[in-house]
This record gives sequence, C-alpha cells and structure tokens, in this order.
Amino acid sequence: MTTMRVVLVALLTAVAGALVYAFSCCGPGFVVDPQGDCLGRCRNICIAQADDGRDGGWICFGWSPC
Amino acid sequence: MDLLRLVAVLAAVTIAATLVVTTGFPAGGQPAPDAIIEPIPLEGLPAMGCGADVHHGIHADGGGRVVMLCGDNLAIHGVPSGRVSSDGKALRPRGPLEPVRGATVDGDGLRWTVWGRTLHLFVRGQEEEVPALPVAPDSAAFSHAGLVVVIKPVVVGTLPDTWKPFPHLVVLQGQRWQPFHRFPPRPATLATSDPFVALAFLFAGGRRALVGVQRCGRALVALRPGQPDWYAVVRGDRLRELTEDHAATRMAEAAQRHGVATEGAKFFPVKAEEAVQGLTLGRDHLVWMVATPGGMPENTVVLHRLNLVEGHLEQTLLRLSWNGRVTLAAGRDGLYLAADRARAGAWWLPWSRLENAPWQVVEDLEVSRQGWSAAPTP
Repeated sequence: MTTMRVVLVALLTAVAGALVYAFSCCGPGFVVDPQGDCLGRCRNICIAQADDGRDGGWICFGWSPC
Repeated sequence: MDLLRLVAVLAAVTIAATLVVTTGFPAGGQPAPDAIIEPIPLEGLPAMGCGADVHHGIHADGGGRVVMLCGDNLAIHGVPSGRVSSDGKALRPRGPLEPVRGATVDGDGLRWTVWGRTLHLFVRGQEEEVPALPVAPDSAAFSHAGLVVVIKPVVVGTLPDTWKPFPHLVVLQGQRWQPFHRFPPRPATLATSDPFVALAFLFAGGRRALVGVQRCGRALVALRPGQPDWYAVVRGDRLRELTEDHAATRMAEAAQRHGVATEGAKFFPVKAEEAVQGLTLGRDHLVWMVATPGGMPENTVVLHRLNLVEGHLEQTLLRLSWNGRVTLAAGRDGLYLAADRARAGAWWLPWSRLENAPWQVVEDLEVSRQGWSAAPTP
C-alpha cells in the first residue's frame, strides 16, 4: 500500500512538473519584455527582416500567452 | 504700404537665410545641390560572387585595412582605394549557416563573428566553438571589453536567472556569456514599452572604445578604458512610432517576401522607425554614423561625425539611393559604406572629400559623463 502511495505521489509530481514546465516562463521559444518577464510562448520563431535590412520583428508560431 | 511690404520681404529673407545656416537647407525644401556629398561606387564588386538579395558588409581592422564580406559564400575580399580585389579568402564554417544578417571583425583582423539566428565565431578563418547564446543575437562588436553581443528579447535556450531584468548586451568571458548592466534611462521621447525597440542598440568597438547608439533615436553610450562613462542624447530626438496596423502590415509583407506562412502565428512587430542605420569607430576618437531621421529629401541620408573626447557632434548630407541599414568602415584612405543587400552596392568617400564637406555642428547634444556602467554583472 505504501509503495502504491509512493508511486502515485511520484506520478502526480511528474505530471505536475511537466505541466509547470509546459506553461512556465521562460524557456526556449519565449519572447520576453525588457524586464525579463515572459510575454508568451511560441512553438517556433522566425525573423521577419525587411527588404532594406531593417528589423521588421518576429513571427511566433503556435502562440500561447503566459 | 510699400515700406511695409519691403519690411515683410526683408524679414522673410532673413528668416529663410537663418534656416539655411542652421539646418543646411530651407525648411520643407531641398538642400542646395553642393551641400550634399556624393559617395563613389566601389569598383569590382561582382568579383565576390555575392547573391543579389543576401547581406554583404564592409569592415576595417584596427590598421584601417578595409575588406568586404559576402553573406552567402562568406568570401572576404580586400578593398584598397575603392576597388574590390579580384581574389580573396573565405571563412570556413563547420556546417551550413542560416541566412547571415551581419558580421564584424576584430582589430587584428584575425577574428570574425557572423550572425543570423545564431552567432558564430571564426579565428584565422576557421569556425571555433562558442557557448550557445540562450537568446537571439541582434548584432555584435569586438572591443577592449571582449566580444559583446546585443541581444533580442527572444529566448532560444534556457535563460539564466541572472539575466533578469533582461540585459541590453552580453559579453563573452571565458566560456560564459555575462550580462552587462542596463543602460541609463532614456529621455521620455525615446522611451518605449516595445522590447524590440527598447533593446535596439547598435554597437561598434575598437581598442580604445565601445560605442552604442539607439537604432530608433540618437542616444549614445560609450565606454573607454580608464575614462569616465559617456552618455549623450540629441535633444529633441523622438521615436517615430508606427501605428499597430502599419507595423503589422509591414511585418506581414516581410513574412510574405520570405515565403513564411503566417496562419496561426503571433506577430511581434517593431513599432518604431529605425533612425540610425550604421555605425563605426575611426581614428582620432571619431565615431561615424549614418542616420535617416524623418523629413529627409529623397535619396539623402545624414552622416554624423562624433568626437568622443570633445563631445562634439557634426553632420553633413550624403546622396545615397539606399536608406536602409548600412555597414561603415573607416579605412586608411577614406570612409566606406555598404548597403545591407549586395544588389544595392557599396561606396567610399576619400578623407579629403569628407574634410571639405559642409559640416554643421549639432547644437542639441546633451552629454553626461556618468550614468552608464558597462561592468558585467557578477
């Protein structure tokens, strides 16, 4: 019974950890504001550079705000 | 009545003359043709074999030896006296690089850094390993402080805890990227909550200085070994902000041009116009900048000359058919400029031509010798 409890707690902890990782700020694919706080998460990020070399910004795919 | 008319005409003439003296050309009108200097196109550019739409750039080492780098084949050719050499050498990457957006060379001409979505370091032409940056690079400069990188607010790795608040730039120390302190607060006219604009600094470095300028306004910072920090703002400069719609449209156009499908995507557009397009350090403590402030006549840009010792900023007008980003190089025989894209070309201005240009003092420079510490955060 104790073993079952331990396994259950470990399992729940792992699931909770995975959820926290999935929704936490900031990891790979995040865009941050000047304070370092996360604005959102992207599955993939592309640079959009204007034709004259100026920075047009970024395109963030699969967007989910923090 | 006639006397009144005469007085009015005299007053108008006096005001117009004053405007010409203070701004170089009549307000709302065109500058006098001889008030704009014409750079000379470089000869022999096709020898580099650079694709038309790729980045190319012009650079000088500490001895004033000028070279051009092509962003697709990484070819480097010397440019003596305004002519690109027919033969050159090339940087040797470990594998295929993503599209190159910029590059810089150190004072000895031995180390190059090249960046696109990631940053690469080359020593004597061969790529060397550097620790991965956890963020996207914007630009980089070699200086007495080491290799410094201006970063984008886009995380591509694991962001260290010490990088909060988000640093403006980072420096490579040993095998670690260390954040620099933040810059002093900018004037309200240049302040913005847009992270892409707030962090948009362009840096140039040399043995004697590291200089940065806000791309969207003329706020400058400089660090020189053994000297007080230096910080200056052109009074009255303000962000030329884009409306949300304009910024999103511009971004969508860029995405389309690069063949990027934008369905299900979130845009982070830059919401202000860039005003400073290029920057380099030259001899005699001089910093050279190309700027495209608002209200300029067509095919005309501003060339700035800033003396770091005297805190003295001057400007003259350049005829240039390109008003986007440029690279600048201070060579032995002149100042060199290259458009960001190979198809638009590159030019040079012999020093004698620059000395004889109609320079005007920018009176509105506010200099502070404190307020910026570029010591890395422990």
